[in-house]
Amino acid sequence: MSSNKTGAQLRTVLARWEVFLLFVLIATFVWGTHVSRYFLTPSNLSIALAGMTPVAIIALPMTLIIVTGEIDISVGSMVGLCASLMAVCLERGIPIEVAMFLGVLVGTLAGLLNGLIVVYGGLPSLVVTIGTLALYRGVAQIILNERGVSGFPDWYQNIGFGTVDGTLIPWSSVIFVIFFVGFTIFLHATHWGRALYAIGNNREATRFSGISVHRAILGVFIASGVMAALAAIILTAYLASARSDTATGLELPVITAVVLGGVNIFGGSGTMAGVLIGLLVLAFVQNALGLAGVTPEEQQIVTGAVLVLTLIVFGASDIVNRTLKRTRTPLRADRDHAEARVHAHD
Amino acid sequence: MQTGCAETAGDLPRDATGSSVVPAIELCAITKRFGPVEVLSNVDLRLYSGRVHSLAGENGAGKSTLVKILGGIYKPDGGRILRDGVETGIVDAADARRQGIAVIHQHPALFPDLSVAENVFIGRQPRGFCGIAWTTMVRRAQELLAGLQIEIDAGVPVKMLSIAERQGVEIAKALSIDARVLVMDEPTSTISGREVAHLFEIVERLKTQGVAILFISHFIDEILGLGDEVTILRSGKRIITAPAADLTPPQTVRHMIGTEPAAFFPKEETKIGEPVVAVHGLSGAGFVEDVTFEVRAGEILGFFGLVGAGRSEVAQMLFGIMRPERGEIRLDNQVVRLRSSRDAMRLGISLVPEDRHQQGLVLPFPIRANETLPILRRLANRLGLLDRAKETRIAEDFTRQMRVVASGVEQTTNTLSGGNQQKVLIGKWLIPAPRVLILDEPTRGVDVGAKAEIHRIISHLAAEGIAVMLISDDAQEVIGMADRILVFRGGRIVAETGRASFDREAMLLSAAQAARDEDNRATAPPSPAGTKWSVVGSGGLLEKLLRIRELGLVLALILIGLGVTLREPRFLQSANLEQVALSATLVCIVALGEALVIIARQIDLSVGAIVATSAFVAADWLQHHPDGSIFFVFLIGCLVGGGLGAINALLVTVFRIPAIVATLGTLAMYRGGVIVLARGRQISATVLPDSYGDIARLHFVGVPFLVWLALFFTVVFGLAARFTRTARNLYALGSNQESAQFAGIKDQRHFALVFILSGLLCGLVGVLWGARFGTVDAVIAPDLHFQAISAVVVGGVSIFGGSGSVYGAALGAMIFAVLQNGIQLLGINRFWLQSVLGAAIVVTVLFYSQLARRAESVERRSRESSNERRRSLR
Repeated sequence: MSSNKTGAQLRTVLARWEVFLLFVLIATFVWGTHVSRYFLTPSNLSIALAGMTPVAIIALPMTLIIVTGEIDISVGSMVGLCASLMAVCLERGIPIEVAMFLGVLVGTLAGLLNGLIVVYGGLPSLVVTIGTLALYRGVAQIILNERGVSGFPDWYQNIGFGTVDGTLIPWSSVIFVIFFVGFTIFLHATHWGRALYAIGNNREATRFSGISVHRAILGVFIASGVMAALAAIILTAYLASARSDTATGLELPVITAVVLGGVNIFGGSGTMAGVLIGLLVLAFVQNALGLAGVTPEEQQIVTGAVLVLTLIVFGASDIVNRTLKRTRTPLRADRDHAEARVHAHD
Repeated sequence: MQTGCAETAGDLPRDATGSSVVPAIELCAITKRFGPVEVLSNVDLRLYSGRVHSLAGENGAGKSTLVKILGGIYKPDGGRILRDGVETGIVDAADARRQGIAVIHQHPALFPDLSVAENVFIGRQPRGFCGIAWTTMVRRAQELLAGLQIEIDAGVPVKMLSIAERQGVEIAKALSIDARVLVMDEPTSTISGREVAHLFEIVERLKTQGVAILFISHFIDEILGLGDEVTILRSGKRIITAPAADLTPPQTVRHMIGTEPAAFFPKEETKIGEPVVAVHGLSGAGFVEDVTFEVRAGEILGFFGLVGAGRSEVAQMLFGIMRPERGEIRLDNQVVRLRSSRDAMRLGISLVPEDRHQQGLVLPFPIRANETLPILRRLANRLGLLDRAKETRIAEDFTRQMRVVASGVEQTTNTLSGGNQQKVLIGKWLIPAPRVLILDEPTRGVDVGAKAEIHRIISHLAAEGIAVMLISDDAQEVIGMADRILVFRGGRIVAETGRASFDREAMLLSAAQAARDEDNRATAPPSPAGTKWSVVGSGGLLEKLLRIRELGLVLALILIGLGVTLREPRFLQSANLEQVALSATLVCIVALGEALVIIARQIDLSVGAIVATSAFVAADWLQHHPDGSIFFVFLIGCLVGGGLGAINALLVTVFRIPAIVATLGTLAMYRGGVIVLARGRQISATVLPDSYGDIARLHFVGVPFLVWLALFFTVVFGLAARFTRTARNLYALGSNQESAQFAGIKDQRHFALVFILSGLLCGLVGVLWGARFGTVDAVIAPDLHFQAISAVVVGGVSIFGGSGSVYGAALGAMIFAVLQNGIQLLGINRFWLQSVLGAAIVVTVLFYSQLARRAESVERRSRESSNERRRSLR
């Protein structure tokens, strides 16, 4: 029986990456216990998970977006915008439930705007979301200025740092898990998810196959906006306050977690399982650093370094693979593709 | 057949004195293999100065490979190349050019954003005392064009030109390198009749200049009309070389296709039923005109013609991918409107596209996923969940039917052979059980065995009652398979034959005869001086646009200033204006670097972090060395900035990380780094020597030193951007990276340069920051990357790279400084500025891109129509 060489190899590579990540996670735990004896305590683990939830929530649609070959850098600002809106509602005495609904509405609209400009303006998502990053943050600043708003009701704050009765499992983690399952099923088991992978690999062929690429991309950007609103709810609940600069820079850990999880930055491949492990690694690395006395601003270095290192590793392995001609990913191998076209024509 | 280059003098032509002439280029026994396939076998070719050699052959004969060997893209596996009788090797494209060989490909590889003159001289711009001599360059380019009697303004950006005009630019480019050999690869496939005539006049002129020309075309009368000698290739072998005068079109065709009997294709006898698809008056895609035909159930209708004849466009119109401009499509005698491929699929139409790699398959996917892509929805239940078992069953079923050779449906298609890939593709489009199946070049690049199998499949499908349209430029194939054949040429159907009267030669002649009657609507004979291209609007619209950009920016600046002054006269106070200018300077200097980065089609988000790091390190050093020289402080700042910029450069060039994520990562690393370094400290002016703060307080002629500095850098960079080759290379890279690489520009080196330069400038600004603002800590310049990018984008630098000026970026920085000041003075909520920045980026990019797109198409259409008008007037 002829061996399914590259397919099996590709899969083993992937499997190897997630397994490798698991080892990294274990190593993180080992290091964490070394840093502080409080690391493995249930309360600390609970805090670590709760703190990561906003990033994790956004990582879900971000995975979809990156799989299709796009990117959304405006997520931090969308969270900030929704948070500021809800804060202003609270100030004005609007009931919190209505404020939450408005927050979700604004998030959806923000995501929709991103999607519309990318799809119908024909502009690269990179450029559009850099612009909307500033725009949404600016609007947040306009409506909330420099005020900080607190005074969220207790049950609301419970979402952020409350735990399930009798256990130390944070409510926010439960929320995350529910959405994680939903997104995983969406990406890996539905036809919509399959279409996203197809788009990320070969947009033209997907278009020829009767799939509406425009609608798909619009959809993932809207999803990003909606989940940003949800993250805003969880984040403000966790912080028990909202400011216009809430979630500034959130895009960095989100993209890092997704890339760390093995999702190809150029699109077309990656798994939710990998992203989950990536999120966990990042969460516990940050937690351990915090226990070691490193401030969040300082932790940026690590996050940035992880992003860069992961990309270096993938980039280097791609170079190696191409020189050894083990795999031919058409996205990178445009020259190979051109060659193949030549063979076809001549 | 010769086994090597003929040394016998008897074979070489003789000149007036009777001595033999050495060919400018001689290819001897050239052989080229791709894997097991021998694409060229022992091919000889001789090109002589001042003569045109035509190369003819069907698709797959090896013409393009030969061209690529001459152009240095491929190296032959066997044989020799001789230049002026001396053996030589052609290392790469740049080397080919150095040796005087210029190749004009079917799709000109130019830089759309750069002017004609720059395109001609890219990488070799003439230089004077102060860098690139633009007037000389434009003049020389204009002379070259004039020598070819091409009337284009050499200052026009190439994106404004039609394809024919771009070819003219390529020819001028070839002349500018004193090419002794010019290879023209199917230049006439994409241009109209009049433009072809003009091209031929140019060729005649080139002959008198002693250039040896290799001309490749599909069109028989061009091959025989233009060429002095003709070489015909078939299946990689040279069949015959003869003077053009000695060949007739039918003879040429016969040599091209051979006299072997048509291979036996197992065409089943089928009962042909009622018409399923009827197309009437279909027109669109710019050149498809009045196509009318019908296809019946069980019938195989052949679409024969050459590349560019319009067959694929008709197919795509039938599949909903392309919208026809006129005409109707009927299915079962009902008019249908196809707005998308999904509409077509729903009506039972399937299209197997021409390019199986770009349009057909998702190569990294397994066979199973590829085959089921069009029917994904049907495989899912109401919740959207895919039925994997069903999917695998269907895929296995059709893979078996197509006799795909693979280890299973999980094998990824990028590991399959061309023939198997094609079978998977066909299987994919059979799964939706179509009633109409359109196959666009289904056996292109497929080995003989798979080819026969595919033919068997097609024949069987017709037998099952499917209406089949078979698009192919292989006359043999079409004759073997089809019941009826439509011959396409220039977007129209020019002939129709039934099975009884198939005639291979006649078909090829119809398809290949470039009579182009449809273009000859002239009422007067062409002028003896030759047809000329119009000079109407020579860059007029675009130049106006360009001037509008900088002018418009100055205008916007004045308007905003005016607006603010009207509401708050304090704006014009010298103290205030000084503040405005000062606040613009630092952003301006950073924006200069960012502008170059963006022009090269990269981006740098880490600028703010680099400024902060450099600022802190410099101030910190100064605090501990209060007697240190100011010069040294600047040195430290620049070293830090340059070093951090170099890290960016490394990530982007060596590790090929996209600049956006690379600088996102370094932004965090550098910012975090300086935070750790600072440990919360703030260094204020009080602990620093006065000489440091004096830098910001210094005035010359009433204007602050910093403003002079910013002006200085702006002018220096502005001049460099225009007058140095390196900067022009950046523009080229941003405009079309592939063409730039092809022109020999070292892309990685240039990218590294811009990132390091950006870092250096940020390093400098870091040092200046402390001087200007009096305090330095780890969180300064948090939004600097936005301010810089906004300034650059608003200043007219295209976010896609390749165009825009550094002066515009400086003006952009000024505009934002004025806005900021105005917001402050007018008491507007200062938080509006951030939104304005963001909105400015989005709106400006949208605006400029839409404007540019519209300007391009309007300009091109006006040139083409005025060309038409001019021609018809002659």
